[in-house]
Amino acid sequence: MNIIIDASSSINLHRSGMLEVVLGLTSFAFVFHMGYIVMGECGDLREVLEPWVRSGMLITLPDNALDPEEFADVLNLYGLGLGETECMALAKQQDLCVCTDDKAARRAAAKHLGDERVLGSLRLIRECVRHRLLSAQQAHAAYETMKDQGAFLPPVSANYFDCGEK
Amino acid sequence: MNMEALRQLLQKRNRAKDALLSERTGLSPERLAQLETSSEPNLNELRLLADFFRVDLRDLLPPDPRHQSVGLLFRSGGKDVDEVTSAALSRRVGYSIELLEGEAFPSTASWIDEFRGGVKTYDDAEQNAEVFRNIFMGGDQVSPLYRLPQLAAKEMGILLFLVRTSRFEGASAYIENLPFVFLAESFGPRMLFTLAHEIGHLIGHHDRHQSFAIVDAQTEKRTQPSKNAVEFYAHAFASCLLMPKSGIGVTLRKIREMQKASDAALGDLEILLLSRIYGVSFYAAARRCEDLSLLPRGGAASLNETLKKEYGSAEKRADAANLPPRADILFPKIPASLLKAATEKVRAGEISIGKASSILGLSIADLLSANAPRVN
Repeated sequence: MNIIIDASSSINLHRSGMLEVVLGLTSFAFVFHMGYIVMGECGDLREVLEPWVRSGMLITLPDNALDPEEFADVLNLYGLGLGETECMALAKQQDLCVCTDDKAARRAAAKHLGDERVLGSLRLIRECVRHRLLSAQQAHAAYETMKDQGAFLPPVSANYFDCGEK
Repeated sequence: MNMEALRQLLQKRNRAKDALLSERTGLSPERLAQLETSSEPNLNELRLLADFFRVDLRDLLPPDPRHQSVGLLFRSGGKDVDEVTSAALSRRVGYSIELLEGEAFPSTASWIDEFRGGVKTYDDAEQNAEVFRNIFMGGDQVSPLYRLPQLAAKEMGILLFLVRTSRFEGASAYIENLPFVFLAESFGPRMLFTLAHEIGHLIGHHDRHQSFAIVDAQTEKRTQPSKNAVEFYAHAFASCLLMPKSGIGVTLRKIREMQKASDAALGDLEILLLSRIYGVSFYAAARRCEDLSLLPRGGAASLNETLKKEYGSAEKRADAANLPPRADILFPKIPASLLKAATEKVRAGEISIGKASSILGLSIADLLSANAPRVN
């Protein structure tokens, strides 16, 4: 699965200590990308991301292939932030799935790319459980940490993460 | 693409910094020359240039048609403001209005009606400054006004934004019944004066049913009333509000009592002390003394220049003389009403985190933190 990840998901995963675990999914045919604008929006997290970029676990996508006029059209059409718009524009151009933890961005991405190409950090954490990188209990604890840190996430029960262990 | 805005940025740049510009952006001098005249940039180049010039990438993209009408209102000293500044302010105003749509906003600036309209003169400013202190400070016509930022944001319902820019010192607008003030982040006393100046514009405009928007490149230097009555009034109001006549009298008397000074002419140290007590710059304090006939005309500028020459700056002179340090002036980072509205709308999926972050001028990480449940 080819995924481009936005700032909200990156920060939520990092704050719950799950970013490195999720990037471990690269061993299971997941490929993670990040645009330059999103990289800038990640602020201090950028330093944490650099080693993963160098190791190839996270691929940065330059935005010189994006046409500014088309980018502005998408920006004005959905009224999202710059990084969220970059994610959608690059996902469309390079046939990627978008990972975002923002409700408005998920709705816009579903409209722009189709439902099947939109996911959030919780789904990635569940994939980690499925591939035995985490227990369901650890996954749910990470979710609780994200909420405590201010993530805009929906209510999710511990059962949501169970499927991976079956 | 907003080629006009990009070309304005490139054409007005400090060419002495071209080597730095090329180094930071990776764009060659040849490429910069092409972009300055005819060639169209790609998104990566736009992003790099926006970063270098500290403007929002959106300001170099075609504007959202929904926010163009506000842009047309921004003026500076009767002239149009540069495209980038106008676009940035318009976007902030437009988005804020969107964000507060349907919200029960605490104040629609009914206080404006309390002030005298049709104001132009220094005496008008003096009177309205007294009215201000009567309304918001329980009639205190003496004390310094360090809490003006909190008062503006909370009690006056002004949407107060701090912005990182060197393009202007302050801007204010009254649009769709919402008062806005934008302050460039700089020396605290200068920001305080600018805030008072912008409040002067809001009061001077007086008609809360009619929109206006104005940008001030600099706020401490006063223009002649015959050249620009609006700017003259705003400057005079700021001066009278922050340094009330009675307060200056009482404070100077006390300073002289402590120094056991005679009736000699007002000296630079006394003005410096006044400036530190009232949270304004030396020049602003000296100018007020000039207006109160405590200094001869032209004395403020001349003293300011002398201190610059002899000590490097008025502040250095005050430090060398061991004057008490300035009190901190705290400015709220973002309007609390907007932060609350933004987090609620993000939660409901009405706007995205990225957009909320750009409206508020807050990083995505900070916005997430602001949504964290609070433990009492």
